[in-house]
Amino acid sequence: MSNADLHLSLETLDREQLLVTVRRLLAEADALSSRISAVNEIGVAMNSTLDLKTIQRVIAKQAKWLLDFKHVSVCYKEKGEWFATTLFGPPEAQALDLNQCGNVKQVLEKGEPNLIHKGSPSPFLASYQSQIILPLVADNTLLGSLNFAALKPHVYSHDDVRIAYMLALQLSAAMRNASIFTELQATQAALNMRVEQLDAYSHTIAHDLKTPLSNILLWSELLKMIFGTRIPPEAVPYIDTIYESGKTMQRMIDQLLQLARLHHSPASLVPVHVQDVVGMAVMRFQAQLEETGISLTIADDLPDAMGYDQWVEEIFANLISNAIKYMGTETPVKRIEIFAIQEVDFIKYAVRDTGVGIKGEDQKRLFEKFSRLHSVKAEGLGLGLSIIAQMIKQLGGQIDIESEWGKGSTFWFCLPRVSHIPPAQSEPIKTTLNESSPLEDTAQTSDSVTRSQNETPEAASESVSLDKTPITQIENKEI
Amino acid sequence: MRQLLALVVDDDQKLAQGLAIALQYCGFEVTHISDATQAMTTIQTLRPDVVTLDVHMPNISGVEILQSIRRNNELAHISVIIMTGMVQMLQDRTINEMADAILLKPLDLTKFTSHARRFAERQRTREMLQVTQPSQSDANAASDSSSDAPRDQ
Repeated sequence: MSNADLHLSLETLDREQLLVTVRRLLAEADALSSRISAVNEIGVAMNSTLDLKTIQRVIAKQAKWLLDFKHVSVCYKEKGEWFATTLFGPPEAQALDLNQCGNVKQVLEKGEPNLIHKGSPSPFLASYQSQIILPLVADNTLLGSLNFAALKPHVYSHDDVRIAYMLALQLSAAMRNASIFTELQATQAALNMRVEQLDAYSHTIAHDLKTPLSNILLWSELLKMIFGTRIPPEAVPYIDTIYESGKTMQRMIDQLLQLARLHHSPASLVPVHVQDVVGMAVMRFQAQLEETGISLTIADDLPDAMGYDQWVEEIFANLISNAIKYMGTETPVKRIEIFAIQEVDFIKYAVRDTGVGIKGEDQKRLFEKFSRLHSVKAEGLGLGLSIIAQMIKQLGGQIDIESEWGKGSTFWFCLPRVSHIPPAQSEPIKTTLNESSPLEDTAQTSDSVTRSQNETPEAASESVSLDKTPITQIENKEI
Repeated sequence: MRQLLALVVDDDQKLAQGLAIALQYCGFEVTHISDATQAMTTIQTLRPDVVTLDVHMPNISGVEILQSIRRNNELAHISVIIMTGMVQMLQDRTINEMADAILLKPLDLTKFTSHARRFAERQRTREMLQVTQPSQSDANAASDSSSDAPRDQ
């Protein structure tokens, strides 16, 4: 009945007829409302879970508001065989012989709904006179059928088929999503297992390599220690080469092991007492600093940050090691400074050196895996900086560099402040560390190079350290 | 002066042999074994002054041997150098509390020999004090152990 018809007919009705009509309309509105909420419930169920059984249960429960039935079931194929799952009503046979089930077979072959008004044509749903069998199709693939049945004949109309068809469409989508999700979970589990196996494999290989390496290093050292001056002087460099090559290999193995360990990121970030951690990192290089005559200063009030002690120590150790490695023999003032700047949400830590610096083209490749710089003599796998960049990223921070060829480098990295933990650890802080970041804008870098060529290193250093924490000179011997 | 004794326990025979040579160079008479299950019996019989233990060995770990040494009153004074290829072990509290030194593999020979020499020196001092001041020997031994230089990591 259209609105116009309703309006006209209402005008001509007497009071009694009007009341009856209004009551009927109210009842119809109520029924419609129940149907809408049933459809809504099914939609919610589909969006809130990927568990197929839960979705099927909700569809069977809510369909009663949409259709009259005594039986609901789903037919599906598994490992080449057809099965039926009864969702409502007395259970039907679970395994299906399609040749015996004409009602379902026809739907599965044609991919079209089948409305049966009277008498079941097959042993499946034999006791139900009225049936609606609907195909379940997703992405042009036939997944099975959705079956509604009632005991009495002529229960269903074509309108009911349309409603049932809508339910079948929803169920098809849910089945496809659930199946994709299950596949995805299986793939992820397989991938995780593979990554673990690879980690364990590289770990074992690296450790196994350490055993012969330990012997190479130990015996070449023993040779010099035991035989001392009895070794012909011209043979000493040979032994040194064996030893140094062994040491290089040791660093490579350590880097590979460290890379393998990166997959196991810390479960949660904790406050790190950075002052202590830097002290520990510097201790590793005490002898090297003395040998090379490099002075190292640490600001005496480095703020704490959120992180993971061992990783933060590793980050500083790596940056210090780089600063020593690239100090250069000709550098007049050999100095490394460690300081920090407090920002709103994070702490910027810096390791600055007066070494050889890094050329613009190399700066871009600095944090890539296995990259070695052309402008400086590098050793190892070139993994060091990429490893710490990965660590910093996983701790929710970022790393960057300011450098000028021949004048030294400043490596910056930021970590979340103790009271500010970013929502996702893997998401880096969205703040640019340096406004003229060489990694982002090479034009600006060359500009800054031109400008600072006219400045003394001290003046350049002053401009950066205006708001940095106070620095206390710590002679390397006292660290 | 009595000859100081050392025992090297490492399942890698070549490495054990190399460490033995290094310890001999530092003035010890050295025994080395590669079968870690024999470690405690050898220590009981030999009564060494210094023992070097690899952590990862088949059947029994160096840490277990270290624990057995520390639990035995007659052996607890022995200086033990733990050697491991695992960086994480450096942070291990149990090992840190029980070992006199922890060294990473591949070994830094200079560090190793300096530890060995230090432990030899310490043992000689202990023995000298026992001869001159027998009544105070225990107290001195205790203070000596607590005044150890920071453990090498």
